Amino acid sequence: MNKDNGFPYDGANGDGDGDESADALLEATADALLEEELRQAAAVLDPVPDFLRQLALEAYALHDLDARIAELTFDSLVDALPVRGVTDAPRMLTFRAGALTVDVEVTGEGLIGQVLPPGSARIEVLGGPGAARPVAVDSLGRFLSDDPPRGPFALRLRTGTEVIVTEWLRA
Amino acid sequence: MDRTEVGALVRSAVDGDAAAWKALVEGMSPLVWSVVRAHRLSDADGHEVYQTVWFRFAQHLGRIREPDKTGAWLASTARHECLKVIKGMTRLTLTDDPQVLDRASDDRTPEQTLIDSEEAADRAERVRRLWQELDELGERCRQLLRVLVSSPPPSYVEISAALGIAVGSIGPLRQRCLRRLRARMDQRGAA
Repeated sequence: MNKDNGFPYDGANGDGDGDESADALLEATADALLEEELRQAAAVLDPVPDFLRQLALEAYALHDLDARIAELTFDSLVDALPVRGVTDAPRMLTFRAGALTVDVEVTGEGLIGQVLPPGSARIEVLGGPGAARPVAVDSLGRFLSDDPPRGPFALRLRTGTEVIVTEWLRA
Repeated sequence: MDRTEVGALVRSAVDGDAAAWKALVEGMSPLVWSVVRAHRLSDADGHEVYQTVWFRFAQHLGRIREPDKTGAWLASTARHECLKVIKGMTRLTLTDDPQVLDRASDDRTPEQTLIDSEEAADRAERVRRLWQELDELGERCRQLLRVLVSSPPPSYVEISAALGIAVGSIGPLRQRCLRRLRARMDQRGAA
């Protein structure tokens, strides 16, 4: 009686009922056909937009083996508890590359941050392949930009000795 | 693209082969896009997630520990960025209402135009209906099928990374969802 549960494959390999395994094969074939039909539908109705594909091609320029990556180790969006009633809390980010830490706060007004240990560096905000603008940095490694990043961004730091790029992130 | 080529393409791209990078973008873009679409982000958010994934991939190229599993790396990165967008939205709106995330899909006017111009009108009509039924199939099935039907077909490991579901549950879920969709199409055909 448990064969009549709408799932013929449950018992298909049980007692050699040929009709059931034939049905299962038909069903599996119909599944595969429908999946292929959906695949074609996706390609026609919901393709990758051309301009995005182009941006991904251009992203190859961001491949830079000489730069060290500062990994994202804290993101308030994920790691901090939301504060009820506070709707415009700044996004707090921490990146780390070895002993070097970069703290960044992103708000609607812009971006402020601090390189630790304190020290001078040249810093740019990257917005994509070929898009870089310098930010003001003081001798202690504190930096400020009144142009909030939109979309994906990364920071490129040039200390005297090395180049460090923070992990790409969506602001 | 044959998934077994991916590791070799990544290694070539690391060595400066731009054609290998192009092949990776062509072969993997539909998977990344499907993850973005499965999470029903707005166009603007979805576009930014897609870019972020590729920018980060370019940045990490050469540091990817298992180049053969690049598809899973991309899918997982896309998923996490999508979840961040969703998390940011819920924080801003301070609501637990899941409807916020389940907004209606964007209008498809350009695609509609494309369909109208197709000669095989009947076939196009069925494709359009199929896509509409998929959209109304329920979140789990809609998400799974959207990623499953990207081109070329993703591996179960990639689907698992894209949606955060166990590899072992993909086969049974796929079967159930395809059958549900088939039943809905049959119902419409009979009506």
